[in-house]
Amino acid sequence: MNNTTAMSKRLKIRKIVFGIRFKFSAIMISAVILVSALIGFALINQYEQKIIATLNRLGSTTLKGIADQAQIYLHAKHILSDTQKYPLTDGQRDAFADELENSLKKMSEYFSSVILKEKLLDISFIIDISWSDIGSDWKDRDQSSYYYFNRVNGAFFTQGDGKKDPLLEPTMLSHYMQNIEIGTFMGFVDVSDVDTQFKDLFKNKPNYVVVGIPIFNNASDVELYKNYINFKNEFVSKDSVQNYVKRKKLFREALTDRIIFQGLSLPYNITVQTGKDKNLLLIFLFNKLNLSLLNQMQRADLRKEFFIKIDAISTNNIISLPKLKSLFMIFIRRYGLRKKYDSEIKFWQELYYFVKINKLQPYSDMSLDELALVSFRKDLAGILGLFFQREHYTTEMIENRNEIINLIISILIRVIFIAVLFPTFIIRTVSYLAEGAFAIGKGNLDKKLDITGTDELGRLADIFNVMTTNLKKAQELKIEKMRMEQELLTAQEIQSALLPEKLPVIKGMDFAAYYSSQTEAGGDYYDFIDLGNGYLGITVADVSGHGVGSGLVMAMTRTLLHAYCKNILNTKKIFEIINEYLKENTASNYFVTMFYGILHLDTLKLTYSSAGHCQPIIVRDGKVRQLPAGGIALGVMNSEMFQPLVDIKEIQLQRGDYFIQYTDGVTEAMDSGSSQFGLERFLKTLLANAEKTAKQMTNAVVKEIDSFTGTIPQHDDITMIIFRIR
Amino acid sequence: MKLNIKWFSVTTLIIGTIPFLILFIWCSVNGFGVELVRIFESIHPNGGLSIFNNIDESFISRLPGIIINTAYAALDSFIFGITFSSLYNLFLTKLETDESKDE
Repeated sequence: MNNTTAMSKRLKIRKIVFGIRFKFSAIMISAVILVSALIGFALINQYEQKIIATLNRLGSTTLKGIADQAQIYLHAKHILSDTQKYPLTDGQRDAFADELENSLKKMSEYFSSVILKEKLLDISFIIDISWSDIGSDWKDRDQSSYYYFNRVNGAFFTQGDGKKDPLLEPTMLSHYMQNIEIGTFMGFVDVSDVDTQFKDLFKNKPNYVVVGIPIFNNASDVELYKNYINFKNEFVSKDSVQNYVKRKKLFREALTDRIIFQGLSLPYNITVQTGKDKNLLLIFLFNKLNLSLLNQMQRADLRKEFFIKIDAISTNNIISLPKLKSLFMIFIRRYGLRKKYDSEIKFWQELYYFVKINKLQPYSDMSLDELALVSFRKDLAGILGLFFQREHYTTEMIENRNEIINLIISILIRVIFIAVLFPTFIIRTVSYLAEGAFAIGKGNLDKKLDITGTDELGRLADIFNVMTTNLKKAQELKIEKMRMEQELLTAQEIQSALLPEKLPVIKGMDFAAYYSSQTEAGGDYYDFIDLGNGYLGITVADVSGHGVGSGLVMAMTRTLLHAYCKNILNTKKIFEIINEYLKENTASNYFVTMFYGILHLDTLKLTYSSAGHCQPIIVRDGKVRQLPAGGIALGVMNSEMFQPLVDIKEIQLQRGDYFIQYTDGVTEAMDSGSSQFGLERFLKTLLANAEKTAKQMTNAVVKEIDSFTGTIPQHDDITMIIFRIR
Repeated sequence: MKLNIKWFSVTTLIIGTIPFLILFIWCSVNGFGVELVRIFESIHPNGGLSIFNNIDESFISRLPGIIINTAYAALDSFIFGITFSSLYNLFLTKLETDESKDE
């Protein structure tokens, strides 16, 4: 049985401990997994961004190298192809031929170094126009560089002068896309439509990073190329939002600078929002038409027509520059103006200065990056593009990703260890608490929990100990109270035994008595004692105070009375004996008021003495009469002082008389307003029940007292005896 | 005698952390114990915050690596302390139980 209980206890404690451990560990592990996942994703994303930036940087470097070689190649080829313009000696021709060859080799080396050795990227590159000749010019090889690149890692497509290269046909493109080695990619572009081509090619391939760079027709455009590079470095390569705003602001100026280089096909616009702007345009055009300012302004009809045309060709106050030029041409034809303005370059140069000086706002609907590619169309030999496929390229990225995964796993393992082991600190205390609770639950209130510390568990242990101490005190008090109650009950039983068990049964007389103690042990006493020889002792006494002490004094008084009453038929003498004994043997705060009378049953003469007790009452012939009493309480004075104060009185009782003796608990019974029942109400009640038996009279008095006091607790012992002589 | 798990773990944490912290700082200053630090870092992923990534730069730039490595040392020694003392107490309890049964 004990084993079963102990096992049950252990199981319960384990359940508590496991519950806390599990919850703590679960919460901790969950939190760390969540945080680790977030950090991991953030780090991986950061690495991807870093890789993309690296790819762009490497791509630009590679392309720059290839483009530089392309420039050399194109320059050499241009010189070699135009013998009239560039007459060369044989040595020079060989030198250019070598340069041509070397540039091709270097281009190949760039590709091979990037693509083959370092495995940096999967590429395709796009060359336009004259560059398509590169492959066929490859010396000592039966295959063009296109095949070479195709074979190693990519594809090479050309298009130029309106001649469609069959490889550019969509079917061929698809063919190459399907058959080129894994890990490669290809692309092509018609530079007039470069943005669309790029987008179409990579619209479903978000893992490709595209880097493009323009190749120019001849060496004379190197400055333009540098201009582009500077522009790109300064504006295009910075992709942050802040820089984009900055770029947007600066780009307007750069765009203005570039107007001069653009053809009419480019969708550049200027905004003309006010009449002032329109007048400026009018001045510009009229200047080009070689009219004086005065004439311009006086030609109201011309001005009006101009504004009508401006409004016609503009949309929301936006005029495209090609349309502006068209308008200019219309005016030339209509008015047959003398000086034709047919030099396109000159027109754009002057328009450029006009726009710049007058701070008009040129802009384009195209993005800056797109413009960076297409704005050089007129001078481009082609655009070289590299496409980085991140999954294949990113060895470094994969390593970094693995590093992050390792980091997260490493942290997780440690956290799981901590999460599982750390609760041991708490669990030990909780276990101890649980054991203590079980011990206390089994009644061991001496159990103390020895847990130090100021944390919650330490405080809980302190509270536990205080609770146990209080429980123990409460239990001790309860036991003490039970013991006291038991003792009082015993005292009550003893006291009850001291009172007469039966009332006297005497012919011609009926007796009644009522006794109610306020506490378990009362201090009142009444008795009827058969003294022999036709004498009946009648006594009523009231010991000061209540409770056990009063009860003991009452018992002493009764013992003394019973010891002497049968031998001494002198009430005063009896009182003297009791007084002397009580005076010597009880505490000074205990005294006894007492009535003691001896009734001669034949003559009905009552001889009595009173020791400070209530006056006895006679009800006779419908009248109430209080008998003289007097005296002083027993146990207060010594014999010498007591004797003179006590005397013996006699009264002759008659048939029909009621004799009533009582204690002050009757007349001093209180109601809720602290009013006393009083002697008058008592006498009235007696008189009202004068024809009844002694028992009925007693009951009537008790009932009257109860109705008077109501629910107020009894505050003194109540004793009353009544006998009637029939 | 059972071990106090908490204070034993704190003790191992201190013993395991301070020497490594000194080593990491020393290593980042003049390369002392590079091989040991490399071995340490090889089994403690740091997400790129290695001491050696910035070995040519200022000491401040190597602080993240020192902090990460020291955190690893502290955590591992603390875990070691908890594990060791928990297991020791567990086996000791079993031993005492067996002995009391024999008696």
